[in-house]
Amino acid sequence: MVVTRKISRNKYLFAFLITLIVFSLGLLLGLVIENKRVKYIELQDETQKQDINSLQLQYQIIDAFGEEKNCEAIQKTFEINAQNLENLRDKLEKYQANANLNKKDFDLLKREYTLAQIKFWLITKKTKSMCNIDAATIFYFYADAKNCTKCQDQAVVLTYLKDKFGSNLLTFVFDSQLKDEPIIDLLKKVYGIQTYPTLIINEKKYDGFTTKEIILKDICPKMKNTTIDLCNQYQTVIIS
Amino acid sequence: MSLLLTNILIGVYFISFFFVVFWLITFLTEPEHLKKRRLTEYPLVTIGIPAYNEEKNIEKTLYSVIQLDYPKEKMEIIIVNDGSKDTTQQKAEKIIKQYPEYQIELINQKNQGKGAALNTAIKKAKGEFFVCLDADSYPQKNALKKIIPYFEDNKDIAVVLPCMKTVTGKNFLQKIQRYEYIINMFYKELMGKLDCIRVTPGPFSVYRTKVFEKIGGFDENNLTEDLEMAIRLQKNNYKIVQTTDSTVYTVPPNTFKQLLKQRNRWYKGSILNSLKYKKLIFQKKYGDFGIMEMPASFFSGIIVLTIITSMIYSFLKPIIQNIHNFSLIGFDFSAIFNSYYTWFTRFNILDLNFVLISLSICMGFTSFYVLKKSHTMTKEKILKQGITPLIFYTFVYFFILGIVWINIAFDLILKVRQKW
Repeated sequence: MVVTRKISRNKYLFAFLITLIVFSLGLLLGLVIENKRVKYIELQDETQKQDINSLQLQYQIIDAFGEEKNCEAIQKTFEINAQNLENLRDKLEKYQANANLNKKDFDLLKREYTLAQIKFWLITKKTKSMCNIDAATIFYFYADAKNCTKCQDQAVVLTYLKDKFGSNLLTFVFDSQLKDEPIIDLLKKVYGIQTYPTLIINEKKYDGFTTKEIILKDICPKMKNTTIDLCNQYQTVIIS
Repeated sequence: MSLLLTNILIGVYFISFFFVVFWLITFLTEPEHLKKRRLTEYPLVTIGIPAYNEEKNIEKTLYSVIQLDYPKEKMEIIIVNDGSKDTTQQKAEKIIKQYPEYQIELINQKNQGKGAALNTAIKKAKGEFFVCLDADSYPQKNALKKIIPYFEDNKDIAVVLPCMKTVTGKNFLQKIQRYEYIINMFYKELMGKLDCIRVTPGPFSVYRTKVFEKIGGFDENNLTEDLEMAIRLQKNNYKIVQTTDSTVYTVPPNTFKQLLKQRNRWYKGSILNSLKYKKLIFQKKYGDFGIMEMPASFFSGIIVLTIITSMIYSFLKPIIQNIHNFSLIGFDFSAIFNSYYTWFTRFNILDLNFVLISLSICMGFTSFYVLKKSHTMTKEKILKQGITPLIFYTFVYFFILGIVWINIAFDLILKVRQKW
């Protein structure tokens, strides 16, 4: 009445092999997707570069001929550029957060993105006054969760405001830990950045987490020709 | 999440996936190991019914035994009233008077627990076979007639288990549990093929009586005496088989509290018995039972706890995060629309988590296959009770059982003793 015991060695081996293959395929799939994401960002980066070049040339033409009626065209390119830059940042952040093996590639892309931002900012400075564009500027210096517990919160507030203001709010986002790019250090020195998050709103520095209300107080007065619902309260206060 | 935690989680998923693949290979490659035969002679069978406060069920259980398609002179029924405080005794006596032609004996004893009650019945048993029957379970008319031939066919068999189903409950919780019992039959059939069955449940498990002479009766101080008995049988290399053509119906808990209490006892019993028989773990001489089943049950608690905790974490984290984020923007709900609009306009196919999608598809197909097979095996319809219980079983039930495991973890850490 006893069982002759057996060990299903072959089945264990076969099951282990299948499991290994399935997990390896999963890993491979992850890698393929990651590579595709790197390629996608590269392409977006390239488009961004062209857009900035175009904007720069447009500015130079207007500057040379002094024809302010061309401002309409430049404003359109400006808006598209601002939007594309934001899209690029969004994808770059998301893909890098999920990246496992191509972190370095994403760092390189981030560097390119940072340079694109600065170029865009420099052109913005000139075109804003020349073409009377309603746009507030925010520089946002952040660090990873380990070094900055409130950066996640700050990002939520900025994304919200960006969604509300569209191209009327230009946010320039700088990863303070991007060691390879000397411009970051330069900007940090220029603005005396020591804590994270730090915001530079229209050239005024705010250390630590800055609430939605404080930001609105500072950026709303810049909206002279544009009606933004969120600004009603702050604009009225100023008028009165 | 830290790298260490991620690696632990990947490890747990790897092991779980390995077991699923192993079980499926076994199911698909192992030939039908049981031959179905007709009964040629009717041996004497003792049916032992331990009862403690079972006034609601005892009559129905006894009627189901009396109605068994088996000669009454070949059936000996022993009811052990284990110190019930209700009218169990009176109800049993009423049936005895009603059916004098049946050999029914009622033994009243002080409350000593189910194991002790069963042992009382075993000591009195004259039958070649001993059926253990919980007082809240009802065998199908042909159950005994279907089970006994398995013993005739194979002298190595010590215990034959019926296909355990739940009574058709109107209660939603019971409807959900119906799926669990049916799918469990698939698992038990599989374990039977590997000689790895580790529980001989109370409802209508049929034993060769002489087995008790060799390995002793039920452990009277065990939280799950049926589980301990099965492991002891395996330790002594006895064969336990699971059938699907004989059915016993049992009443599952109908309240959440009762379910949690029952599962707490089952799972805690499983852990404690795994610890009691830890020497069997990774022992080659016990074949697959030592190499696979014992370690699996030993570590199952840890595996389930890890999966549950990670699932609850990934479920709750975004909810808490979103509430916090909303507070930062002054609960401006128009932002929800904005964020969806932005997500939609920026959507790129590469945004999708392909690994997670593939894993879900894989899991979905496997689950459906098991669901379909287990229902075919037990001759049941998947949507017999509508689709809602199935949805709840698929997506919610696992979390309910997770609560039990978390509770057990706390109990074991704090060394809380289970009252049974």
